[in-house]
Amino acid sequence: MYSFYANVLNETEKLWKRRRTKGFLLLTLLVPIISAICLAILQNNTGVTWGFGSDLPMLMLSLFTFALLPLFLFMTAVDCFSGEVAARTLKLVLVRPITRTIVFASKVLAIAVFIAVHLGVLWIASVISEWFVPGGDLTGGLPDSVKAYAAAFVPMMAIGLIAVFIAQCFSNSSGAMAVIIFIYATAKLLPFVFPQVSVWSVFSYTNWYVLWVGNGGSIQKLFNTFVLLLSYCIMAYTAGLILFDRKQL
Amino acid sequence: MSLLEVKEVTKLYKNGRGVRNVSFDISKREIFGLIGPNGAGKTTLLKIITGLIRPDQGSIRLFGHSVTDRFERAIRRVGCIIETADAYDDMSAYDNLKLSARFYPDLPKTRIDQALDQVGLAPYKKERVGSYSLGMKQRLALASALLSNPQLVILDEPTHGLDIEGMFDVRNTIRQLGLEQGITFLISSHLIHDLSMIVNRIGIMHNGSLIRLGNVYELLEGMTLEQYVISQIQTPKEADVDV
Repeated sequence: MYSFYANVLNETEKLWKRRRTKGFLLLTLLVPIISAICLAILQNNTGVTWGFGSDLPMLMLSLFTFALLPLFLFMTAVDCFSGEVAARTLKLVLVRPITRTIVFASKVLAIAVFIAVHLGVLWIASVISEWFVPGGDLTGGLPDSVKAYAAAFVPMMAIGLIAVFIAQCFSNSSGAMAVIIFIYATAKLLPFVFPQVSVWSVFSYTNWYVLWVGNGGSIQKLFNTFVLLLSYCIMAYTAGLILFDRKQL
Repeated sequence: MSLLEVKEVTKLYKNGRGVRNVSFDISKREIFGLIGPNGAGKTTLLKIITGLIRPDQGSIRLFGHSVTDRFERAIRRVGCIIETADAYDDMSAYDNLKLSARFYPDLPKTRIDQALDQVGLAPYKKERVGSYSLGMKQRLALASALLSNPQLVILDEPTHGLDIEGMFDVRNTIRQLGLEQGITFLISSHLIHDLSMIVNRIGIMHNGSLIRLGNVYELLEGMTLEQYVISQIQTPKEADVDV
């Protein structure tokens, strides 16, 4: 168990020390602030209330969970696995007193921390920014936004685990990244042609959080969707672990 | 007791290369040299020993523990450099070693500075490893291998990329650790001259097989190690392999 704790710290530290991670975090912080400033200027100049200000946290969550956060996640998953294989740094961990199962679990947990931190920073930045937008809802939407941000973690984790699984099939970052983005883009576009796909595609549930807001969804629907997402998580985790365990370095 | 037992290990790649039916063991305080030309299977064998590759057949035991079944226990008292001296380029040398040190809860915090001092990297410990020369990275890898105060150190081409002074320092460090602290070494290299100055037992690998194994002084019989290895590789007498 100690090795798990040690490697979670290591993986989190490695992620944090990457310039890309700091850049993503800065972007997560700046997008809500810049959006709020733009909305405030627009509303002051036109005199028209656009209505976005009252729901800035949800607007930001929608933007991030659709494109930005999955993109960050793909890069992080690829960096943690294919990137380390390409940089030949994965063996630095694998020759230490730690099993591959624990290495894999700790890397996944570090990615989960990454998702949670991003969602947390986005929520704080967008809630604070909302206060400066004319017509912004100062406190009324807080409980809903907390629920929505917490719920958004689940599909992001499922997508992250699928990216982790795909990354196991590649020993270079660029190949893995290209394939993951292609799969994600295809999965997002496919329901326009075949609507029935969206029921089964995990990528269609990035906006699952809307079911948690107000009277969005029944308990049964929430439960069913949660179980579906959890199943994807388990399948992707298990398949990823099997490939990781068989990896010859 | 043998610190390392390699029994009938075979690992063949799709191209037919790899290692075939290799067996040997290493006892405490030995400095064992694994010698052979490029492509002989030395690195593959070291990767199998350290669990980076699974063998097709055979077994490896480190300190009595199977590498495949009880990896954590088997590798706990082992330090190694395998194939290349890699490190996290975005981090400093100190931070790189800090990551490794976390796996050893009993290691005192001062050990990181000691290890860096041991390889002459203490003045550069805060610099990003990305700005290091190949020789400095090699020294860092050696510090990382020695960090946990291992009882068995496995080094794959430890002098790769080092200048003459660096090679001299590494040889001295190995000799000193072997003599003073009783650390056992398994060193693989194709630089025979380099190895001949420090090893007391050798195994010669050629085309994936261990063709000679024994005490360096008994095997040489007046020849230099270089002459001996070349004579064995040119006419490997596989029929009378003494393994």
